[in-house]
Amino acid sequence: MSTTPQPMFDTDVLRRFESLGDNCEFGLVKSGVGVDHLGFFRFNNTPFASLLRVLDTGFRDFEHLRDIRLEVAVNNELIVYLPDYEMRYHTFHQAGTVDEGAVIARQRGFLSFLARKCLDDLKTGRKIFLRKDGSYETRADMTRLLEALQRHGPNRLVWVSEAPDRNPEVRAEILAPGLVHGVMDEFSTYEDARTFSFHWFGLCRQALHLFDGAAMAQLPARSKDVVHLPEGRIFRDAILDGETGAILPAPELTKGRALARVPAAFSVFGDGTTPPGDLFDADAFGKFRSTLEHGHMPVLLFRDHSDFSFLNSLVAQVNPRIPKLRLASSTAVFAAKLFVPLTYPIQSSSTR
Amino acid sequence: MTDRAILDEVNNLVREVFQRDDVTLSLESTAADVDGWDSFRHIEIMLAIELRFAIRFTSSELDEMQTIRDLVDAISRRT
Repeated sequence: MSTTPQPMFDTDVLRRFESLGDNCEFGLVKSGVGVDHLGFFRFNNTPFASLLRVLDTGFRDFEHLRDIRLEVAVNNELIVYLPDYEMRYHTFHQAGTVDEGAVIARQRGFLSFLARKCLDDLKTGRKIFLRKDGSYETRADMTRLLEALQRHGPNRLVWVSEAPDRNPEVRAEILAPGLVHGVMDEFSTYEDARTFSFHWFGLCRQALHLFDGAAMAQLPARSKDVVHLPEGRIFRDAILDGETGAILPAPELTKGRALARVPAAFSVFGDGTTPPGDLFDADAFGKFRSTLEHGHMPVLLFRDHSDFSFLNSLVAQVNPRIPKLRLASSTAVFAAKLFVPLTYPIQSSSTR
Repeated sequence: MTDRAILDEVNNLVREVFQRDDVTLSLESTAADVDGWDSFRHIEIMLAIELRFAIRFTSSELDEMQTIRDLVDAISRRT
């Protein structure tokens, strides 16, 4: 028997997981680092009872679901509402910009297709299902959910709760064979699920370790040497300080204070008065990205009191997959930046 | 069918879904190369391809498709 370590990036870790709701947060975490797998529950708001019913009936109703409606969210986005299941999901279309009848008509095909895909995953057991606890679900609930999953195949479940004290130290433990309970510092708000805690990555790594025995996350490997860019634009092997939110060179790390370590990051801090969009050098950023190792997503740092609409324009310019990653609220007061995704390699062990 | 023929048919189907004639995919193309190719469009395209070629993709195949070459290969294995 030998153990062969394989490099494993956050993107590889997240590919192993499949969201079961309760809302779109985990789906956005995955798509934020470029893991855009289609999934029935990926962008869904799914009450627990509905989730159980869908699983218990084997998605039977979704072959030809009749009652499909559209609602308009506060941000004017069209939301699909399935009253039979009290489920809602994003269309990412703004009301008034699309033919709503056509949107509804397409949902039947989408739901049937995604149901078939989910059933395929359930039968093979190749995904680790993840349920974000949105309504004070209990261990007994999760046992029932795991049973429902395992009626389809050899499935595993991660139940993720929010720490009552918003402790930034994420943790995961095995509750039963096939069931892991993870605790996050905090969830995103339902109003802005796109701004999520980067601790999702650590939590998934821990859960994968508990299930598959993969080695725990290692400190990140250094990226390749970064090409010379204007002073102050690049952070290499930096530490995000948990108390002040400052970015420090790695040697200044004080044990226990680090929130995250990033192999390389690109700063658009500026002087705090000039709009970040005016400072952004797309060519320099392009060169920076080209130096990143395969699997690393670029990390962007900018002030949390920046005009966040800048991020939207930035996404259009340089990368369609740049989410906002936020700090825990306990540190965000001092944080001078938001993150764009952290991906650092870990070692997984495959036993032969 | 040859890969070339499959690619031509995929191009036709993608143009139908997008209702645009100016989309031309190569084997190296990805969804990111086509403006508006989001996850919903992706499902529409996959459904159109399944119908046209009388196949059904597995979840694993769908997850592993990164480029049009991956898509063409998946179709080729079934036809």
